[in-house]
Amino acid sequence: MSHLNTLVLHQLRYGELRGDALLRANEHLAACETCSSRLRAQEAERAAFVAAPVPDAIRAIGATAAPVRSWWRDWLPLAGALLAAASLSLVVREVRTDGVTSPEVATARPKGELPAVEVWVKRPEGTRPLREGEPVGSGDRIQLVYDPHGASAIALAGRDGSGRIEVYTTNAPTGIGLVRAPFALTLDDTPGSQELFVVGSDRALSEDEVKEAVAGAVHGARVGHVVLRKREGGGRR
Amino acid sequence: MVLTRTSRSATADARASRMESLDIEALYRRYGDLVQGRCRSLLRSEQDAAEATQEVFLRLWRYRDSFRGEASPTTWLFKITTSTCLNRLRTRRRHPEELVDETPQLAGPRDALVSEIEARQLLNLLVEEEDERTRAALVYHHIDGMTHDEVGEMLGISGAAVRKRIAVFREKVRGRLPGLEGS
Ligand SMILES: [Zn+2]
Repeated sequence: MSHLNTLVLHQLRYGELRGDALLRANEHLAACETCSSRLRAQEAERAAFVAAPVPDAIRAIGATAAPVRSWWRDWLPLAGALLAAASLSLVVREVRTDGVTSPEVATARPKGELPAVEVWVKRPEGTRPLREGEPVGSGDRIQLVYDPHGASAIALAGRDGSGRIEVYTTNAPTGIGLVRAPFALTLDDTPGSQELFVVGSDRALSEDEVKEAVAGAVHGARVGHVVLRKREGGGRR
Repeated sequence: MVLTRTSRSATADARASRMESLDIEALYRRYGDLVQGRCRSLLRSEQDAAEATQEVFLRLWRYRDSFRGEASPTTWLFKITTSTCLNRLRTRRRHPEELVDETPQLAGPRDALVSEIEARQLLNLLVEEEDERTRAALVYHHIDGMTHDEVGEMLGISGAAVRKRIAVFREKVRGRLPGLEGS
């Protein structure tokens, strides 16, 4: 007799089991102390959870200008990287400052989707997504989160206000869904905007190729891009 | 009901945004224990688990339209939470300087079918596996007790393919997974 898997226990608690599946689960629980005790453990976790307040960082998610548009309905959960390129411009819009150029995308866009990019920022209430129009300043710690959209290789790069391009890594994690960059960036006091690039490609690129991709050359690369708005005076709020 | 759609046509923006903020709380109150418990048991770090939980809810919030139509919201969350945690484990391994304080006593619900030690052995070795689906397959099978076919359904591949991936991994780590050698 094999035990009930962990997901089935959750489904049972949440009333998602029906018909035969429900019957089988209940029969098994009546006969199996291991599984009843696992279910009790989940219920105890639930009881402790309900008693605790909702963290501010979770509330903050609801306060972000969350992208909810009809085209999101096309998104199939877990079918892989299916976010439309539109998600990029949308995310970018959240952090773009007035007067700063729109995201550059190599004109002869190669096959595949652009990596979607978002920026998280460390604030006293926790690390959370940067809000629409929210400025950043010197000393702020930011974290890039991106969706590789099926790219085999991901490179991360930045361009500061002086136009200098810096390649942070040519070998960032790939995967399905949102991936965190393997490091946080601390902003310095270079004046002007700070841009961040996520370069997806079907093979690993050299540092020079990443720089060229950032500057607009193609190399089979797909470039997701955000512009951070720097706070006046550059200081931390 | 948790998943009510907020009306955009008839309400002022301020009210709409207030409703949205109520919505994320409602979703969190309904499903947060599943996500948080899973993050804790896979990550073993209170801070990491809190960040991963937040990441999962951000994704849930993003995709809430499609989430509403899910026949099994818990399956959706279970998958997303698992992949979020496994990505995080690998990132942590590659950048040990970013390691947060470990809290060995920390535990999610003891709903796993293997002992703490066996689960730790497996999770530590998983960071060596490049393929995301194989990592998830190993967790679903060994820690959550899913059959090969059930894992296949979760990952959209056949049960036979799951069996093969698991066998290849076990061969690779032979002798280093004593608790699970026979299973
Ligand atoms: Zn059982």
